[in-house]
Amino acid sequence: MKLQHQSHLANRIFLMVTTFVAITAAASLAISLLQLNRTLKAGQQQEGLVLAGSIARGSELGILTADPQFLESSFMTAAAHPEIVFIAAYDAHGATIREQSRSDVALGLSPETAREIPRMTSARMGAPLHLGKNTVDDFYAPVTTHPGGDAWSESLLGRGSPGDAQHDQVVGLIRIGLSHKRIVAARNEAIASSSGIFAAVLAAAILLSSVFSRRLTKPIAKLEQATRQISEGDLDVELEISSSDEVGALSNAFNAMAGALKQTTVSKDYVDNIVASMSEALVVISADRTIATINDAASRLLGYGRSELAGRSTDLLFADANPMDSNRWEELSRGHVISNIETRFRAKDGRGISVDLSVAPMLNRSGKMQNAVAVARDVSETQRILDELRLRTADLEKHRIVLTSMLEDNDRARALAEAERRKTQTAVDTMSEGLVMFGPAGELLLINPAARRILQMPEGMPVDTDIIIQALGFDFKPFLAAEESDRSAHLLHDLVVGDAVKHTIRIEGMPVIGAEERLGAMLVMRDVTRERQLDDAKHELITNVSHELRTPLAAIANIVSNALVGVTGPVSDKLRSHLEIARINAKRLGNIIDNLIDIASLDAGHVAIHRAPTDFLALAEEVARGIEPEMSQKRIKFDRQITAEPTQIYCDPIAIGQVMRNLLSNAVRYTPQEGIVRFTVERLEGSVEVTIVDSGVGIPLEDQASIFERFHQVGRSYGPGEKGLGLGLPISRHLVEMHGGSIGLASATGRGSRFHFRLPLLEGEALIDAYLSDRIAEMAKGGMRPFLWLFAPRPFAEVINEEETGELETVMLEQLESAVRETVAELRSLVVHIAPREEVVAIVSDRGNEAMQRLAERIEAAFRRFSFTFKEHRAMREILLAHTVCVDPTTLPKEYLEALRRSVN
Amino acid sequence: MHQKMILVVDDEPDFVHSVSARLEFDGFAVVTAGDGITGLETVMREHPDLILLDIMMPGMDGLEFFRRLRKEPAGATIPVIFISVRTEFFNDPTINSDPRTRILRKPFELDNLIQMIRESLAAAQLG
Repeated sequence: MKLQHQSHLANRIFLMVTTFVAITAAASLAISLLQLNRTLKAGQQQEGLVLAGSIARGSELGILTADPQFLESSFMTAAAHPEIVFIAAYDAHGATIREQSRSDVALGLSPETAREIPRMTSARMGAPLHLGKNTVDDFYAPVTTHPGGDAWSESLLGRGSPGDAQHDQVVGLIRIGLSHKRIVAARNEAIASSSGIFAAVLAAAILLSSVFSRRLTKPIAKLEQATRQISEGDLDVELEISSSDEVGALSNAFNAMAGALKQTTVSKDYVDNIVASMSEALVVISADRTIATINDAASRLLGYGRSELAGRSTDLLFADANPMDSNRWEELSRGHVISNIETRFRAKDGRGISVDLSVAPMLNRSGKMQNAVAVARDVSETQRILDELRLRTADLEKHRIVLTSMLEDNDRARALAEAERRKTQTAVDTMSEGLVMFGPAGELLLINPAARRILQMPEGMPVDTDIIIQALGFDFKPFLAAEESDRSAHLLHDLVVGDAVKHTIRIEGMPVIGAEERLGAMLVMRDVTRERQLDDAKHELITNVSHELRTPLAAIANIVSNALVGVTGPVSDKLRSHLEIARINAKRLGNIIDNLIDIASLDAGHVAIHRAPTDFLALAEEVARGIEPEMSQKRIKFDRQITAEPTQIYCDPIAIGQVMRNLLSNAVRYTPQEGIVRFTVERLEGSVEVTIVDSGVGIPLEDQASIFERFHQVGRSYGPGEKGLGLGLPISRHLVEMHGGSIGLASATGRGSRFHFRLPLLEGEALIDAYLSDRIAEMAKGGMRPFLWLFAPRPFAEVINEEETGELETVMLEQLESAVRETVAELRSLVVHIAPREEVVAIVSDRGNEAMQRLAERIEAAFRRFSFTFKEHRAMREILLAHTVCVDPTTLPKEYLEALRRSVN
Repeated sequence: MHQKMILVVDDEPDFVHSVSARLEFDGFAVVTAGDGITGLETVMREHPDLILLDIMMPGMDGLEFFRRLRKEPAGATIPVIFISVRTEFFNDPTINSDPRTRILRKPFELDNLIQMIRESLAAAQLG
């Protein structure tokens, strides 16, 4: 299309120029040929006249004599001339004297010519003769006589006069025919050469006009193409301006226009994109109500291709009557918009589609409608939902009817539920276990009478969670908030209550889980005094039996050992092997007894720790030394990495020593010959960690979780066959946890195990509080007299009233301290281990004062921050609340000391 | 080197016998006592270098023996190794607050006992 347009214009210019040049050239050629022809003819005429005259003059004698022989030379002259077709000589009467012709022609003179002969004064040309193809000019020349003068030269010069003519007498006539051949040849030659020129000119014209037309139309073609691009929406066109002529100016103007257009017009692509991406189906309708185009959404909706509908009637779109009837169309063309008609499209496959249709006219500037745009939204889904909704509503109505009838049975159901509730209530009220329930936020939901009895909270006394926490002396809030998977989600504590008769109450906590979420938690309190008594009895029995067994076992072991080392004389190899078996079994028996005692202690809750400031490094070294013989026996490489820090740890050296020994002997037991065991003690942030790594058989993953549980012995089937009751690790955990520490392991089967435990590093107030809680617990358990040794981190002077201090203070403090030191040495107190002198504080006596009361309160508050077992905390509270009465600082220390001594003994 | 004398105070004759035999075999002089009172008398008489002391004994128990021992000038600095089947006694501050005491639970490896005795004697010689 474009090319055609372009070539049309170029062709037109080309043709015009070429034609013009051709016509011009042809015209000028024709004119010049005509001119040539005329010139040639004139020349020929002149030549003919001269030739005829000349021959006539040479023929005077022959004519006069009428003898053809005298004409011979004239005729020879003529014969030599190639253009002379014929020659004839006549006498004055027109009779032929001699004639000679190259062609067949009658040379007789017409009578008129013959009559004119006497009056001929000069040569003249007659009518041309046509001899076949050849045209011959006919020339006549009179032959005259005159005396003396040169007649032909005078006539040639035109000097002759009519008077003279009388003087010259015409005696005859010479006639020659001069052929046109030469003229034709010359003319042909001229035409031929002119044609070459003409062809060259024409070729040059064609070439030039072609170049010229192309040069002229090229920018126009560009302009045309750019215009087309713009019309197609591409506004980014810019023309290259290559000349400063009108075309250049036009290009300039075009660029300016394109720029302006770009600024003011939304690109067609943009519009196309919008139209294409519209989710609504869009149909553009031409002014004649046929479909112009549809967008993709419409194409999808209807199933037609985008161009398939072009030019078709809009009737095709609709399943029912075309809503765009002539009335509506008329409205549209007046600029009205048709909005939201509910109608149905018909898809290509004939299916009806409910749509919401809107049509808007597109008017041009003069307000005439050019197109209309129809936008259709598929509402079939909405329709379907509405239908379904109607169905559901109907269903619901049915259900409502059923429910209404069911509600009539409600009263009966309520009565049943009430009875059920009463039963539950009665059960809760009368059960011997105390029951306390908490909601998800930890709020108190229920407390039954048994729980009130146990907590000594009479019916009617207001109770909430905090009050229960206080009564139990244990903050179980973390348990209330714990996740189900959390270990602390289950709680087990024993509480000793009662003044005269002691009762042990076991408190179990468990989460209350609904279908999915945690509804809250409950505490069940059970009097386990009887069970505890049985446990105690069992423990007592096992302990006693075990101890009774140990004594003879010690003797047996020693005797065997002595025999082995040769105390009793030389030992044969056979005897040695037997003694060795005896030794191993004695040791095994010892282990079994140890474990029996441990398990009995665990059951009875008799495992107690006695924490004291302990040289931890010395303890570790001692344990390591103790295990060395076993290591070297199996040729195990024993790697000790015991760092210099920390030195002092507040712990039970026997218990922690036992834990270390336990882990180390496990490592030895499960590590093959020539394996490696590493024993590491290091200080961490706020704790000390003991690690025992071995290159032993390792512990399968599935066993790792339960390995700290009682009677679980991993390695029975893996290890080299050593047996035990599997109590070492559970006891170790118990002991470590009693220290507020943790124990754990990492292991891989076949690669070894890594056991570690951590103990908190107690310092400052934490250390003091730990001391206090331990000592108070001991005193409470031992049924000792309620005296307290209180240690505060602040100087004495800050604690007691200022007016009561003064100069007495220094002396008093010294005396107090020495008294305390002296006394506590007997009372198993810890004062000797603790703190700088000025921080040692006070003693409780049986008379109080305000300062000491405040001190007691402060210490109690400090206690509360720490987690103790129920028993200890409870005991401590009892002591503090019932018996914390303070020494009057002005009282003489001597008396006080005496009171202490008395209380001890 | 002067032969060191060990006093073994225990009410179990078989145990005393087995220990004594080993100690003598290892080059120590051994004296024995079956109860606390006899033990104290033996200390006064023999001036042992180290005492191996059982805690659970009829009459005067090991702890009482120890308290009295320390009050006597003759016994104030003698190293003592407490031996018992019951570890809970080892928590007694009477034992813990004295630097010249050690503890050993029954039954034990005699090799360990010998080693502990040697260490205690060496420490006493230095201190």
